[in-house]
Amino acid sequence: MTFDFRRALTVLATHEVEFIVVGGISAILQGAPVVTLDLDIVHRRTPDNVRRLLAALRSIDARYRHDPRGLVPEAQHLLGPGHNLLQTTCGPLDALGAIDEGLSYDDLLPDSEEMRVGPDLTARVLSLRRLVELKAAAGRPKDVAVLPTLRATLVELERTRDA
Amino acid sequence: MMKVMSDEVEPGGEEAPFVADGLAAGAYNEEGVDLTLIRMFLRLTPAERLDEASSSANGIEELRALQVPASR
Repeated sequence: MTFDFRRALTVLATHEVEFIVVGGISAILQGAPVVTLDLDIVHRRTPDNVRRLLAALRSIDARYRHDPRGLVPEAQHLLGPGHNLLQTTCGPLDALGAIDEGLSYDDLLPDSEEMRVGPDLTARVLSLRRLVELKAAAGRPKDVAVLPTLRATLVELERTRDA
Repeated sequence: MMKVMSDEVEPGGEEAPFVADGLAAGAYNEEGVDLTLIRMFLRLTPAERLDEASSSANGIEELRALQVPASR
């Protein structure tokens, strides 16, 4: 298995998919020294965007990780609020219809910002502050474990901005 | 009390004395998070951080592949 998060984001951007990077990669992009093995995105669940997302996912051979038959995602899967846990040629990619009890792309949009993540590549990323709030509210052991690092990064980030 | 190893500051020098012990130097916050790692990571661009993320994940995968199956 090969992990290439930049290529995954490039493919999504090339297909003009509307999405917000959440989870570990959003924390990493904002400076948190954490490790993650997947790219989590919340995609906009409009028919046009799901069509673009499907094209992007097919180009990187996306298949459900938990299905031994290697089923590929279909539009009806991506239009719903569920979590599509996929394996791709760029590594694991989770296309999340909603997070934290129903928060959609449109709900998260005000707490996100475009970030330059490559020479010709930008991605919309959930703010670290919002990510910390969501993880604290979720309260799952895996979220709680990473919270001290995320909170400390937020403090350092704001201290740097203020300097 | 723990003795802190430090270099003497030259007379008239303005730099703070070097403290080798990260614990004494305040490298950790109250929750035990190593702030030096965060500051290092914040000096990278987002693009560089993204590449580090891929590199770390690939490194973990390589280590997994090296694991020798337990003998029966």
